[in-house]
Amino acid sequence: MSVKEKRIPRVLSIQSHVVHGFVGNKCATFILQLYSFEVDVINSVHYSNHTGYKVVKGSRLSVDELRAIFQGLIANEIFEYDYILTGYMGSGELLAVIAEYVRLIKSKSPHVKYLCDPVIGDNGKLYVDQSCIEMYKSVILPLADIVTPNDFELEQLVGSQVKSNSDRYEEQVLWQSIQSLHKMGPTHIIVSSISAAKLGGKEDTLQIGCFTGTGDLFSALILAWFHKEKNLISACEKSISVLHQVLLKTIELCDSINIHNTCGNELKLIESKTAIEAAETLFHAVIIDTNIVQ
Amino acid sequence: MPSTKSNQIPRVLSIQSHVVHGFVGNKCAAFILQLYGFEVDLINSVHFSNHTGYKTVKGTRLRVDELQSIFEGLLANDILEYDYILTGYMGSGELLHVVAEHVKLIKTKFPHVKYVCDPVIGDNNKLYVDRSCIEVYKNELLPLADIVTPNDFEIKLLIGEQSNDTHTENEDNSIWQSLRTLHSMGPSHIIISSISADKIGRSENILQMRASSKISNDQYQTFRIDFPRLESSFTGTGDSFSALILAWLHKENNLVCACEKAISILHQVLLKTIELSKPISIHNTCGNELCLIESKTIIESGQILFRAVFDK
Repeated sequence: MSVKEKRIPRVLSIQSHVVHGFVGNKCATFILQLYSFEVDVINSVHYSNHTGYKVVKGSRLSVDELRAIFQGLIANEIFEYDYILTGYMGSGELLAVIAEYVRLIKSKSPHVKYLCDPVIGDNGKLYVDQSCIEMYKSVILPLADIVTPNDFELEQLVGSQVKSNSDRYEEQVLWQSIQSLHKMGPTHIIVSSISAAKLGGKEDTLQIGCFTGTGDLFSALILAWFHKEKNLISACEKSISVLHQVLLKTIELCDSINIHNTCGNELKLIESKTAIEAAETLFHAVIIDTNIVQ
Repeated sequence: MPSTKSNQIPRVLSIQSHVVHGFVGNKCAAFILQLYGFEVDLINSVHFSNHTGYKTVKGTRLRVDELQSIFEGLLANDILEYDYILTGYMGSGELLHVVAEHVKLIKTKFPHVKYVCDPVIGDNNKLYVDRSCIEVYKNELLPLADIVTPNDFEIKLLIGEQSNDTHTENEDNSIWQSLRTLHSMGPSHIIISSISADKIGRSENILQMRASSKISNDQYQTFRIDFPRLESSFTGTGDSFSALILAWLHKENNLVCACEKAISILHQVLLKTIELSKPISIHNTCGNELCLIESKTIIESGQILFRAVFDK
């Protein structure tokens, strides 16, 4: 998928930066560089650590600052990418600027694939402004090739209630929501994890703890394996498998949790280097239907 | 050099520049150190589109209050525990002062911490930073540094000497004198990553790395490594070199081996960069961006090409 056969694939990743720990660009950069991608990294925030800690200090990128960065890249003709990856963005205004430049980059390099992780919230809680949701719907999703919402974000984007009154999740509603999301732009949609209980199945007995950065890790893995495998099914099998091994390694190595971190374990990404590179497939896809009716 | 807890990987705090595109500062350090199994905490002193050799540079510098804030956050969450600290480009003396304060704090709490200081001031008689930086390096950072990696221009500014271009044997002695003076300002280990050998009466096709370890008040171990000068010019070599030195010093526990590894690996990265001979952007006036990603195997295998020669 590179423009020139010989060069390594290039990604532009726009996510948060934390000095300590692994979320956002810290995850994406490590994973993608390990898989031999050249990664250009725009940091949407510069924080001491992720927002689950007792204290978070740092600053956010302003709209002017983001524009300036893009202007610098364009002035130096550094806009040739194979992939664009976006994650957490604190405001709708920033998303609007991003949409502008994604459009520009796509017009210059039509083969570019845009993987959008529409970070809105989780477990019924919003992480971002309402303005972000509007921007995702109106300007970002139409540009996205692959989108990786969680089930809450899927609901927010298509405006449907995926939980029914009886506390039992209708699989039908889920697939309908996914169809609605396709109509908003993206060719590929991955809803990375839904508790099996929501689909009327057994609850997952492996409640091993909570982690931060798993969503960001997952999108980076999807991008890398989608590029290598050229098909979404293999990409998902690899990504879920590698993610699972990283979580197991994190549990194995977790001696003491930082008491100031209320949000679960930091991923042991560096220690998982071998597992990430080996990428053993542990889980396989079950194809449900290739002809979903309207 | 042991980690704080035996089953933990070694932790580095790296405070350098961040460029969206390309490889200088923290982009070099993070890739190299993470590849070698270090956990790297990254404070970005700037957030620029690309390095300053391009026609256009856009972005922002970290302000003093922002840097203070970041340190407050790390302290409040008890995250400020490291095995190594690495600093590079910092645009102003004020920022350096905040860094010095916190390096001192970290070293007081964790006496085993080793501080690798790349005193980025300038090169080829040109300053990259504000003059105020020189004073802060001299008075506050060098006394805290365990290892320092100046180029020959920076060493002269730090010890307060005038630059001269004599091509005599005396130049050789004056380099060793400069190292001794710099030792007295704090650091136990000094590495000058490359001096053009024509300055010391030899071929201009050879570059020479010089290093010195202070063993006691009048005992020094000094050595040099010769390696070929390559025709092309590159950016990020100094930043890659300090990261390689840190990594190999940790693995080998010995400055001589660390230098042999670092010089050898860097040379192979440069050869790989030339081999891949990507067209240099017409907007980049400063030479090739290093092909670090493509050099992953080279970096990991750590093959030694050049050996140290001891003095005296």
